[in-house]
Amino acid sequence: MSVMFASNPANGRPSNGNLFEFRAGQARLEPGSTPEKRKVVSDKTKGLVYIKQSQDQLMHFYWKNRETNQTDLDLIIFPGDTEFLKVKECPDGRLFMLKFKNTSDERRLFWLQDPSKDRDDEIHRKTNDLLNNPPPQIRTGARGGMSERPTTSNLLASLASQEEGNALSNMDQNQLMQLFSLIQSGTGGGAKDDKGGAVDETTGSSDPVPAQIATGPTGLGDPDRTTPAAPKKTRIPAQKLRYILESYEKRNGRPATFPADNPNFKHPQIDLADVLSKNNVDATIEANKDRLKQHLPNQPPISQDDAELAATVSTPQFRQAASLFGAALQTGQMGPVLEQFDVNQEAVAAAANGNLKDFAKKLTISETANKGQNETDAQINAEAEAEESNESALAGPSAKKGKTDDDDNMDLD
Amino acid sequence: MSDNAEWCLIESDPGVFTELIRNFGVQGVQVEEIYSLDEDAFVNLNPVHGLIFLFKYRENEEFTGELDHENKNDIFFAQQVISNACATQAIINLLLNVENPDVTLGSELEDFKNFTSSFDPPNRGLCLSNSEHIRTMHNSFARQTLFELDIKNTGKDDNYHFVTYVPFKGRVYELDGLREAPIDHGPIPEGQNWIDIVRPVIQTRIQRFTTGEIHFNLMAAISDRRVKYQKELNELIESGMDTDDAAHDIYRLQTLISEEEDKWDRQRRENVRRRHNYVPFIVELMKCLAREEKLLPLVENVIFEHNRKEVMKQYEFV
Repeated sequence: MSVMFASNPANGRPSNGNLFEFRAGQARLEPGSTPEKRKVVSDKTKGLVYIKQSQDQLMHFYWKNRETNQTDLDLIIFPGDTEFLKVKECPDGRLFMLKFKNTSDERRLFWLQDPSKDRDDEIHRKTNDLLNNPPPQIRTGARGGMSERPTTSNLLASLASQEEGNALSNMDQNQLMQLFSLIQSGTGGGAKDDKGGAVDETTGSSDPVPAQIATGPTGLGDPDRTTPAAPKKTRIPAQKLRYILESYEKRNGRPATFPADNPNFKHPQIDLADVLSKNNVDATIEANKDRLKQHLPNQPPISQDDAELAATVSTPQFRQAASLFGAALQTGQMGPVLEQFDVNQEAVAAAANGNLKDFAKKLTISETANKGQNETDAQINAEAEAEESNESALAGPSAKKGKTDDDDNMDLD
Repeated sequence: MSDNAEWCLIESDPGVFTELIRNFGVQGVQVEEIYSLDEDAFVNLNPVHGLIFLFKYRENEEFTGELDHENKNDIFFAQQVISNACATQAIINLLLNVENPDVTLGSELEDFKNFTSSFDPPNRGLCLSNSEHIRTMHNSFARQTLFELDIKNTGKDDNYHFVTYVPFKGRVYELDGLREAPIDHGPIPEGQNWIDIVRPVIQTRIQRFTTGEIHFNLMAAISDRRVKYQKELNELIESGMDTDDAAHDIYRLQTLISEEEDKWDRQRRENVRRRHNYVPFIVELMKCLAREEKLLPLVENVIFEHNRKEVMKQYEFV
């Protein structure tokens, strides 16, 4: 393991495989003197920010504690997803923020620890540049991750090289979230700003670090949801992305799921007719004939029979009804209607929020709870019937037990 | 009398119109959709009792032909009063002018025709829109309005307009409920099919539309084919001919009759489904899927596929 923290000549790459590095400590936000304000509190720990590219071109932003030599932070950076900004409120100009745009509200603060300020501008510019315009060459030999735990770069590297390794399922929530949120938002960019992407934060008082920073609409403390107006094409290799997604499916037997608790997660409009397609529901329909047949049309020439049941899901009328219903649900207006159908309160609430996925979740919870009960009931009934038929067998073939009054006048065989 | 009773939008589908017409008590008619105005397309359709042309309405559209204010031939023409009623309006304007022995109007429409015979077009229109029975029939084909919600897929059907073309007393007329009078497109030369006269009129109109990219639809009211084929079949059988040709024809006609009956059955089924409220079925199906723990994965799959497509659209291939 080579020595990491020699100060590097501005124009050469460090020999350790890092694309770029600079001394920096971390800082955090704390509540300030008024509710709108936040205070930046710097951690004195000596650290190093270094940037590496894993074998499949993903950029990693690491922070290492120079005192313990542990890398405590490993962030995957997707092009266009972050900005490395100078925090203007900081008068000595050495406080920077790594701000995530699409994947999360995360903001990481760093204060430069290089004794000389000469490189500060270069640090600002180059960091932004590397994170948003990753070099196309894959650097060999540069293995990400200083620790034994499976980092994303390890996983992706192993996927890329077709090794058996830790599945993508071991990607932590944040990493997975980043990946799919980027897919979800579809924006990004390679947006190059001559100023290195610096964005004007609000005006604030100019106190020495730690600084009081007024948080207004574009202040530090606020989640900033601006995305570029016109989605630009990014340079992530789509094959790679597709490969990642498909590998995940193969390994786990199901597609990767989206974490729904990310507030930035935008729910796309789902066509319920696609969810309730013939392939998807045929087996369930077959298994639940009695429950479903009663809801079929019952007007000549149609009757509530198996044939109509089997045909229903493919009919344009059903598909249209399903699409309409799904659209209505996703506008959040279906709460009252669903209440009439004996749907539990939580599911109704999810529908009132227009969240189809959440509705599906809540309905599942409620229905599987019922299933347990029903299965128990069914079991009891089955056992009771078994007992009855045993008794009648013993008693003789005269009257059959458990029949309705209608049978009383029937001739018995 | 009726109040501001509502007329619902109905789907412009030949099966809907055929059943609507039969529900009025009319016999001997069926409606077929037309995709071509060529002569060969009409070989199997003749005799055509009238054409219904459906298109997106444009104000002050130019028209060919002459407005016949005097209505010299006393054609039945009702003006449109209620826009949602325009399909039934066009159908009735057609039916009440048919003079073909194949077609029987039935008592309901005969009464209506007689009752309004001395009325002017606006009053006939008013009478039609006030007819509770006609309105009920019409509404029985309405799309299921499952819930009174603000869904942005309305507006598709707005401003669609129906116009009838019909041969009457040797001339071709255009009956447009939004005009003050029937439009006369000229005489039908002796021995000629009226379709030959109306064809260029419609073609001009269609051409005007395709430049403006307007959706349109053309339907023909023709004689009931089952009746026609059955008549032919009966004649063949009664003739007692025992030739191969005869046998072949008998078989052909039986097949045609059976096809028509299948079609009618299918159309009636579709109409039943159109009327049906599928919400209870949908909710129950979702509950079953939920119980089998399939619902959530299915929803997630659809979301995933949607997003995957978005990725492919937006990312360059490197």
